[in-house]
Amino acid sequence: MKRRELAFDPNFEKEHELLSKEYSDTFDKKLLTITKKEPDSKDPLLALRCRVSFPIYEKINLIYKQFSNGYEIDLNEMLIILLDDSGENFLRLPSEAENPRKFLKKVFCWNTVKNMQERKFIKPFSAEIISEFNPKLSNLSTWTKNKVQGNYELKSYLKSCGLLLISPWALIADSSKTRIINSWNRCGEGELKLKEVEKIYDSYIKIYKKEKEDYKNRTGKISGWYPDENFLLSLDPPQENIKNLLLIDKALRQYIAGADNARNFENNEESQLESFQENDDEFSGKEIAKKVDQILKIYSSKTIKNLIENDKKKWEKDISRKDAWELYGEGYSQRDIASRCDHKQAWVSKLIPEKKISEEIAQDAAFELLKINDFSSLKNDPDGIERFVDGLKNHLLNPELQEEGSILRKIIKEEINK
Amino acid sequence: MNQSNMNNIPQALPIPEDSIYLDQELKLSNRELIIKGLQKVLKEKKLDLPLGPALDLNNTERSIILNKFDIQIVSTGMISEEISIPLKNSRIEKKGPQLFLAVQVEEELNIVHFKGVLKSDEFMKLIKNKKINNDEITLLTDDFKGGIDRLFRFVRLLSSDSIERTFIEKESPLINLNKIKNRLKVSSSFITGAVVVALFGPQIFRPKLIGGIATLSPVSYEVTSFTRSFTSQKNKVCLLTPLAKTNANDQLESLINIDKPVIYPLKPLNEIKISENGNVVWSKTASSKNKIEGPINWPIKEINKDNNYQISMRPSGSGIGSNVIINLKIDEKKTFLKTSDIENKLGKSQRSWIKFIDKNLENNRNTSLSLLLSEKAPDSKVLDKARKEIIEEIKCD
Repeated sequence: MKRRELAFDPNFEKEHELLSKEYSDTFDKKLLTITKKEPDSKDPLLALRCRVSFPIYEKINLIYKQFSNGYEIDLNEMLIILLDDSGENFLRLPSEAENPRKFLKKVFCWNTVKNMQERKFIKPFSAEIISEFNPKLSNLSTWTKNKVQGNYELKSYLKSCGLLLISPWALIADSSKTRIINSWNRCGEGELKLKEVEKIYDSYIKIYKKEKEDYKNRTGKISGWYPDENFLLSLDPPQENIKNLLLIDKALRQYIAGADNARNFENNEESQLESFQENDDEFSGKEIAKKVDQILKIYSSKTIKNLIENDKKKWEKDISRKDAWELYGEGYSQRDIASRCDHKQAWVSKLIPEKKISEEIAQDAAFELLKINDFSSLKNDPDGIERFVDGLKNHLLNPELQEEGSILRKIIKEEINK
Repeated sequence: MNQSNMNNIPQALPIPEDSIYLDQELKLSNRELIIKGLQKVLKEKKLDLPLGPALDLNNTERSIILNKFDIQIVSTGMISEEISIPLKNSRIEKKGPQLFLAVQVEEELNIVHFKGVLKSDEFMKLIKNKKINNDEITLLTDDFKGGIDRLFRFVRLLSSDSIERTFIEKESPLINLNKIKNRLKVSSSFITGAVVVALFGPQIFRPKLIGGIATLSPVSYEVTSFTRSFTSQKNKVCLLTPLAKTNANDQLESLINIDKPVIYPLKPLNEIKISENGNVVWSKTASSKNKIEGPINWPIKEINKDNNYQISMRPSGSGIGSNVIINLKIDEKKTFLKTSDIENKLGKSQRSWIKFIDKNLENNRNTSLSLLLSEKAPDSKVLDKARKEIIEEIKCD
C-alpha cells in the first residue's frame, strides 16, 4: 500500500483548491453534486475516490487492532481486498456480458459507474461506495465505514480467520427485543429513551426481512443492503438518517462483547463439583478401571495416530505445526505454544482442538465400554451417559491423575516421537 | 462517532470454534444448509448413522430421524440469543420429538453452528411457565447445551427408546411433567456416579471456577497526561477489576455493587490514590523496594452510597500527572452488597464460597473477585488454584 499522486485536470484542481482546502462533509456533498452534474468528467469522481480511501483504511486498521492479538489476520490482505482503486483515469470493462474477454476502455466517470451499476458489477470498491452514497443519511466517512462492514469479500476473508463481520443492520435484526433492552440499558448513549429504542426496533423488525428479500431479488446479492430513505422514514418514529440505528448497533456490540468475555462453563460442571468435590472414596473395582484405561488408550492411540498422520502432510510447508504438537506433548499450555511457535492462540486451538479430540475418544471408548455388563444399563440413562463420557474425557485430560501428565498429552508425545 | 470512541466497539464477532464452514458458492435454504452441515460432521467423524427421512430431509416441518432418534431442528441467526420452536409436532401424541437440536446459521457466508441439544424432559421443564404464541415458544439459545457432541452422545450411545417423546396437549398450554420421565434415572445415575468416581477418583471433575477465571479478560486504560511526553509510547493501566466505561462526560466510570471493591491491577503501578468526595483519603506510592502490584483489597472504610469515590492510578514508568482516573458508581440495577454480610453468610463452607464466587464471576466480576481475594475466605484448594490461575494465565497485551 502506498500513497500516490493523482493526475487531476489543473483547472479543476485550482478551481476547487484540492491541494490546500481542508476536507469537510460539505465539500464531499459538493463533489458528489458536481460528479453527477458533469457525468463525463473524471475529476470530481476522482476526488471523491480519494476521499473514501482513508475511511476504508481507518476501518480495516481498527478491525486489525482489535483482533490481531487473538486471530491470524493480515492487515495487508484486508487492505488489498478493499483498497483496490489505484487511482486510474480509465477503466477496462467487459464490452458485452456474453463475451467477458472483450474489453472496452472507458473514462472513470459517473456515467461509467452508472453503467456498471446497471450491469450489477461495480469495481473498484470505491466506485460501489460512491454510486450508492446518500449524503442525507450520513457523511461519506460513516457511509464508507458501513460499506466496509457489509463487504462480502472482507466477510469471507474474516470468516476464514474465525471472525464474523456483521453489519449494523443485520446485528439489529438478529437481536431479540430483550437484548435490545438490556444493551440499551447498560450501554446506550445519546438522548434516545428506551421506549423510543423499543419502538424503532419493533418497526425495524417488521420491515427488515422484506426489504432484504427485495434487495436480494433486485441485485442478486445477499450482502451489502443498506437502509435507504424510504426504509428510514417507514420506521416508527420515522428516522431522517442512520444515526439512531448506529447508536443501537453500538450499544449492542458493547453489550455482546461484555457477554462474550464472560466464561463458558461446561455442561453440568457445577453439579459435578458439588457432588464430588468432597468425595474422598478410595479406588475400587480395579479390574474395571484397568479395562477402562486399556480401552481409552486404544482409542486415543487410534485417533491421535490419524490426526498426526493427516497433519504430517503439512509439516514440510509449516514446521511450526510439528513444533506445536511436540510442545503440547511436553505439557505446554496453548498460550505458551502460541508464543513459542510465533502464532496466535486461535491457531493452536484450531490445530490441536483438545476438547474435540477428547470428546471423540471418550465417545468411541464409551461405545465400546457399554458392551460390558457393568456399564450396559447406562444405555437407558441419558444423564448417566453424559456423566460417563465427561468422566472419560476428564480422565484423558487431567494431568493430576498421571505422573507423566495427561493421557492425551502422553500419547501425543509417543506418537510424535515414533 | 469518532475513532477513539470506536476503539472499544468490536467491529467483528468471534465465530464459535466448532462451526461448520460450507462451500460459500452453495445457494441453499436454511434447512438445506443445516442438513449439509450435519452430513459434513457425520462424514468427518466417520459416523455411519442412518439419517432420514431420506426423501424429505429438507422439509422444515418434519423432524429428522438420526439413528432412530426423532430430532426437531430449530434454527436462528448466528448471533441471535433467542430461538423460536414450533410446537406442531409436539402436539401429536407419540409423534413428538425426543430431542431438540438448536442450530445457528449464517446464511450469507454458509456457516452452520450446532449450538446444542435439549432432551424432551429438559424442554418441558423450560417451557413450563412460558407463553405459547401461535403454537410457537421462544427459548434462549443458551438453553441448548453441548453442541453437536451432545447430540452424538445421545444418538450413538443410548437406546432409542431411552428418551421420551415430547407431548403437549392441545387444550392445555400447561405441561404434564409426569408424562416425561427418565427411565432408570435414579438407579443408574447413582451407579454411574459411583462407578466413575471409583474408577477415576474425585479429581476427574475439574472445578468450573478455574475455567471461568481463565476466560476473564483484563482491560487497559491509557493515561491522560498533563505533561509533555517525549515518547510516542502511551502508558496504560491494566485492570482485571474494576472495569470502567467512558461516560457522557468523557470520564471513566465503573459500576460496582459491593462496599469493599477489590482493585486488581495486573501491571505494576507507581502510585495509587483513593479520593472520597474530592479529598484524597488513601494513597500508596511505589519505591524501588516496594512495588505496587497484584490485588489491593479496599483499604479504607466501606463505601458510603451517598459519597463519591475516585481511584487514581499512575502506571509504572509514568511521571507525575500521568494518571488513569476511575469514578466508582453504585450500580442502581443491582443490590448493594455488604462484604461482611456475605462473608458471615458464607461462613467456613468452601462449597458456599466457591459457588458464590463462581455465580458472580460472569455478571458481577468485582464482587466475585473481592470475595475470592478476601482474607476471610476459607482455605480451599479450588480457591487457591483460582487465585493462581489469575497470576499465571491472565495477561495484559
